[in-house]
Amino acid sequence: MEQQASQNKLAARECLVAADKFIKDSQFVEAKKEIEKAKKLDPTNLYISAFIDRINYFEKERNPVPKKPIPTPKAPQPNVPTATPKATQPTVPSPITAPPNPVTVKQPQAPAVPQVKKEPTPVVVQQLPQQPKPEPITDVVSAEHSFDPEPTKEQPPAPVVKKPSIEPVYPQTQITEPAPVSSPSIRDQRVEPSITQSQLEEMKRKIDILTNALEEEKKAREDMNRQHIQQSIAQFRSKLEKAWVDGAPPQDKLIEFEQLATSLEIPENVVRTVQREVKIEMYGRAVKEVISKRQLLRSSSSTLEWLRKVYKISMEEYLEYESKFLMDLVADQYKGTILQISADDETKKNVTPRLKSMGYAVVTSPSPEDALEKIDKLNPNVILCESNFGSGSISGIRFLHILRTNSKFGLIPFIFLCNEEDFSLLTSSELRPNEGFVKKPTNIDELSSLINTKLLWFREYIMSLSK
Amino acid sequence: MAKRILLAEDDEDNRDLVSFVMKRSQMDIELLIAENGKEAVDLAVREIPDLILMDMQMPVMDGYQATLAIKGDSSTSHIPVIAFTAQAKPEDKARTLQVGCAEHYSKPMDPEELLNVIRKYLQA
Repeated sequence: MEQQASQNKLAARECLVAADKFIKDSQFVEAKKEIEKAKKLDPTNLYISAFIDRINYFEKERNPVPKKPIPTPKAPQPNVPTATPKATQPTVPSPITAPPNPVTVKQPQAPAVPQVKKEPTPVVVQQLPQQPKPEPITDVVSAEHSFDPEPTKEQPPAPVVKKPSIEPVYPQTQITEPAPVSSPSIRDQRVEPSITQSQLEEMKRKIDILTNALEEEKKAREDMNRQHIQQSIAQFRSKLEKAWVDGAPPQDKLIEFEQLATSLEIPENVVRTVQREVKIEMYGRAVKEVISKRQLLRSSSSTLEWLRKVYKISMEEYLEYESKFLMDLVADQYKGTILQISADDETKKNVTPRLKSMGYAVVTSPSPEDALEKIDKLNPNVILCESNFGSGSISGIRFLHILRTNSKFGLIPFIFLCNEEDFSLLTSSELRPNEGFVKKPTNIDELSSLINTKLLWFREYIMSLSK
Repeated sequence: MAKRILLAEDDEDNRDLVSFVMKRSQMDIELLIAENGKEAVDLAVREIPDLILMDMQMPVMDGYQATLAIKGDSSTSHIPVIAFTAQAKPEDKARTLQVGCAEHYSKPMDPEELLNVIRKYLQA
């Protein structure tokens, strides 16, 4: 039994060797018959299935199934025949390549290789890796040689060619592709076949210009929006100030302002802030105004409390801004004491109240003689004096000369309120830096400016003494 | 309709202060100003205000004389006159009431208090 089995195995091997010959000659029908015989003789022979796969493979190559047409690179074609034999050489098993027979001469003529060369499409190339595992084939080769001690000229090339023809083909197609360094890749060529570097640069430049233009437009739009909002806020604030000038407006007015803010598209938080600012601002102004007349008020604190209600200022808001109000009051409240020497009703009526409203304490005196009696106790910061008091009284100029001799009052600001006749006299006289004059009827702004100038000089003079 | 108040006051600061308070009274008030008693009488006859605030110490014609004149005129006798004066002695108060003033309000003023007095007469 064992002998029989052994004989069958040998016979099966012979069938496979014969099948191998038929495959090389592309006689696949005959080859299949031999394989079938081998299968019957020795079904356990592992190489039978490998031979079937080989036949299928070559049959497919002869009648390739049309697949997606992929452009065939022109370059690879000429490389295939040269590359294939080279690749086959090193992989030839030594027992086969060693004998100095025409095997090596016949190698290029092996049918398998030309078939591959004839079909250099990527379809074939892509299919190659999916072919039967090369290891069994190699094993077949070794098996063939193991039971074929005298290989014929045609026998060995089949497996020898076979394996290299499968493996190297794929890399060859890669090799034949254009070198990425010297030229753009195939992919790039397909996408932008005609774009040159200069065109790319030009496109980039245009994109940059467009991007900049868009950025500028965006900025301009933002500026416009900002300006629009600022204008809207200014408009809203102006209307609020008018409404709040004499205290909190009635509820229906407040609702109108809410609607106005909505129509002006002012954000709600901005509306709240502006409302609060305006309210506080108007209250602050009212406080200043009323405090300037505090001597006419029974109680400053109760007046401020009343104003707080009028402007709907909460206690929290009042406390928050109290220091600011007080600072403003201190800054504006007292600018100095003015001794105003005048018998002119017009001056007393027009000038005195204005000076008081500016924050000066004004003490009036009808004549220079009366002023001389008061001046020591009063210790004024500024003296305003008529240039002429008529008969029965010393003139203003004489009064000035008297003061000049006084070490305490000789340098304090002294301003004449002069009429037309005295104006020319005073312009030609030699007045000291602390002295000046304004023409009647008195321009209050001119007078105020002159007072400030003289006070500034006096302060600087005092500072220079302390150095 | 706005209520009309005649203020007879010779001192500018006082006029400004009363005006300041009236504007913030939250009442619909029109303020008429006279700088002496004579002007006050003329304005009262011409405008027939709802209330008169009368300073008693004024040039040309003082508040007492002006009040007497207003109360003596049938067209203005119904107008309440509030004596608005710095004279706060009891005899001064008695005198103002004697000439026909409805109320005696002493300076210096308290805004809220003055407004309460004004409200009282405007509502009556």
